[in-house]
Amino acid sequence: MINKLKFSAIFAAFILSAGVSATEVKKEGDFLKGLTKWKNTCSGCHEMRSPKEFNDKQWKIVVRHMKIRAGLTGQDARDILKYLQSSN
Amino acid sequence: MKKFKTKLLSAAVILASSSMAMAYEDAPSLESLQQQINALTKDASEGENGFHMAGYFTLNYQSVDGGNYDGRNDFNKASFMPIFMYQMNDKISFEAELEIGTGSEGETDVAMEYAYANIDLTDDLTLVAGKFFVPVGQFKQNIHPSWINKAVSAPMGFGHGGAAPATDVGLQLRGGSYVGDMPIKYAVYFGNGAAIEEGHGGLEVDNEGMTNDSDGTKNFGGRLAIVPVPNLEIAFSYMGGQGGLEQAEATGGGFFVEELTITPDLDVLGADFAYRQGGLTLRGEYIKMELSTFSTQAIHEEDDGDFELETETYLASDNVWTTWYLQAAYRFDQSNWEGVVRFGDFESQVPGSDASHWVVGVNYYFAPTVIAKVNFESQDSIDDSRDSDQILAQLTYGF
Repeated sequence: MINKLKFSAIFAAFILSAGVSATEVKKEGDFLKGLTKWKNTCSGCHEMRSPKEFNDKQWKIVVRHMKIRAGLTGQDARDILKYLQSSN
Repeated sequence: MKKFKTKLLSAAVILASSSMAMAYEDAPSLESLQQQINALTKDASEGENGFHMAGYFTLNYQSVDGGNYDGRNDFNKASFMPIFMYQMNDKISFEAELEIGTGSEGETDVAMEYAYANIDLTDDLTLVAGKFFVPVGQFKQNIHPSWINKAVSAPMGFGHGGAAPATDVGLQLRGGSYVGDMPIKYAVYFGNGAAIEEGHGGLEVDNEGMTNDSDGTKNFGGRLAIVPVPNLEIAFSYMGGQGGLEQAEATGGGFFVEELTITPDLDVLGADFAYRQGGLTLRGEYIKMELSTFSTQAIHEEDDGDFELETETYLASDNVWTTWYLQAAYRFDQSNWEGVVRFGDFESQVPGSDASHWVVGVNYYFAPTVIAKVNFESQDSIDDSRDSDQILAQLTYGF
């Protein structure tokens, strides 16, 4: 049991350090990178939805939901959001 | 006199006209009002908070030959799963999913699939607090919604009494990062954990999230995924902890009290992958759940009114649940048609539950999230007791 707790603590520390040490410079979303990431990431689980399906505000909420569900970085999410909001 | 009246009337008209004109000039123009309305509308639409409802609807049909549901020929599921999402700002949000369905006797069943708050700790790391999907494997977390799942049914071992953990109540950290140019995805959690229960025909582990931690020890686990090349994700999962016993129940046989004399360790290992290229989607998953040796003791009331203490030991070698599946789906170019094939296997200590499972199906996409599916499924159990063939059909709409 102690070994399991150690494993858990190390894993949690790794993740915390990975997250905290990540550069906190937030750049604006990039349309072209967003298009590529949208194609490569979203289709990993489901059929592609049309950017026109939602308005800007709805996409903002949906992309945040998917950022957490799909394990996207903040920058990946901003890039994808930029593409979707520019294409709806 | 008439001239005077006419002059007075003319003066009054001119005065009134000029004051109306002055009032009109002082009033904001229509264009100005429109600009103000546009500005207010823009402020409202670009505010930080917002609400969105997503979800999906499912109608299922089954025709069964053999097994536990032999002869069933009915529309066996009509469910609506709304997902409520509220975003307070860029760093804080909340979401919850309900499952609302019609039961076999016409009653309405309501269940809470999950409900949690999300708080960003950094740009890439989010704290998830509440009831959530256990981050072990991919099917329960990401693939189970009917408009995403290529087949009508879930793979064997991914439902109640199976090997795959479902939900838990606690805290979770989720996020993504890069190692060089390679994306990685990670999640760790701890929560109340699973409980052991007496199921149909044998021991089961209840992996649905609950607000009771019967063993007093939190379960923990996580999943680490890498994306070595675009469109390919490979992941490994682990969950550990202890298995408590579900609350004592009153049974038809009389007063019943049961407790663990040895609390077992619980370990779950998982591995999964997903690959997509063009119209081809491949995915597979393996999950193994084990409980160490444990004992229970129970006091039963006999028919003659006497009480009897009964002890039972469950050996680790028997307490193993294993499941895996491989699935391929191909969406034909420029077409709304898709074919799907899935093969899976499930083994557990419950007598007669070991079985393999074939699915062959055709899907038609009315839209990317509106799908009609027809599947042929065949189940082959080790002792032949649960052999069955069935036709399943589904209409699903994700929104």
